Amino acid sequence: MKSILDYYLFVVTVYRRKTTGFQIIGNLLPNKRRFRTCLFLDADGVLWPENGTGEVLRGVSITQDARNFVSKFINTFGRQSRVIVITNQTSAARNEATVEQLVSKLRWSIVTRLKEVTAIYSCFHHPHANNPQLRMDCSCRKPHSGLFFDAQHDYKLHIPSSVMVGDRITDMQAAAGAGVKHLFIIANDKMFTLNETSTTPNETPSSISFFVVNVLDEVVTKMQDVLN
Amino acid sequence: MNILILAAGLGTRLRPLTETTPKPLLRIGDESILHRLIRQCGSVFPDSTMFVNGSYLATQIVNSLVSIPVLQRPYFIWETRPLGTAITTVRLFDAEPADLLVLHGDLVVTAEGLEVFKNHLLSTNSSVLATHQRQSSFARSVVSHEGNQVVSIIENTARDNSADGETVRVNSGIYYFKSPHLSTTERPLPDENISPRLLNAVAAAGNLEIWDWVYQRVSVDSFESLESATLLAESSS
Repeated sequence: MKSILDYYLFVVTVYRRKTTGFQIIGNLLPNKRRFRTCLFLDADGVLWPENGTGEVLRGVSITQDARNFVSKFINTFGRQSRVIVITNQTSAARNEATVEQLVSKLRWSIVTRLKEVTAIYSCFHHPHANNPQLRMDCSCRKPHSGLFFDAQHDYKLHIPSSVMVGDRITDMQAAAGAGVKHLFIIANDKMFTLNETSTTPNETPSSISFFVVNVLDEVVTKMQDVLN
Repeated sequence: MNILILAAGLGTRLRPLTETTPKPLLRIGDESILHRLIRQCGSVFPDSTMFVNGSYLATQIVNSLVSIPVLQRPYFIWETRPLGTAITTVRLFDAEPADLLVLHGDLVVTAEGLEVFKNHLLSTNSSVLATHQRQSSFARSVVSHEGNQVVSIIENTARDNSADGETVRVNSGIYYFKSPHLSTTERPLPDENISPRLLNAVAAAGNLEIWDWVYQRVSVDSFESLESATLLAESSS
């Protein structure tokens, strides 16, 4: 029987591609085979629309836009690049499901629909969790950067050339704290808010530079523009 | 080349207008001050990368950037706490080392002026400070110079009415830093501003020259200047 703490910094390796070649696109990919550029994605609000909390439990489907975007990104920046989903999931902390159920739902929602995804990293903790085993002020919950450091370690990622796409300022804070330079926040039809009064975690830099996109497709357009 | 537009100010002199809207988003004619500046920079410096910084009411600035076409849209630098313009400039340079054009986010200028300024930048090896003539009683950032070379910038917030009528050369809010000059400058402390801190450091090394901005320009720092900015925007669009 697994202890619940085994899920601390939980890693679900869902798909590992066979790479048959090495491709260098512009300056984005570092000129080292060992270190790979990575597309970090938030799940709620990016892969599927966000409507409150607990979408994963209710069953979600990845939008066609997100699928097109991921495959276009891989085609543009090479199959050497990785796609990693980094998400906070609090349903288990609110006692709405067990961690095992959430893992299974995440696996089902993402892996079976988006074969380009290399791994999902999820934080199940919350500082005010109803479930005492998940109640902690962890370093993996965004806006902290713990999961990014784990992914970097596990997959030998080249962080400065990597790209983060999220729908909240906490996504940007977490990625910037880990050293990701290409940050994209998707605004689409909803207006996101910067929580200007809250204190920011220690590792967050005092300024964060990001790019605002309306639709995911603009990320590829902008990255091509940056490289040119 | 990188372009940094400074838009993090509190806009205290334009209250109550700036209590709910950041100063760069105040409308002059059909568009806001910031959007006009971004549009002009995009057309005059098409190969540059643009950055806008923000802290006070930053959400509104970010959300307003969405209406700009993606290839002209600037990166946004969210300052989780106000840093001071000198640090913002140097940090951007450290992250993206390239020649850097810095503009105040409350500037209303003509595209013609920017075009001529750009042509001057191509012909010089110095960093450049744009200046214009102003009556000393209204001067807030006085540039003392020997010939074309800046000696120092003196910030003067108190008005000196004794020398009324005399004209002095003042900072226009447009700075161009050549890459080697910023890389050798001592790193500024928090809350220090470009003027006089960073400009004086570059000037002390003999690397800063003045350029006479003779074209129409308005720095929106009062209700009267907001009206003249609107007139300028309408007449030049």
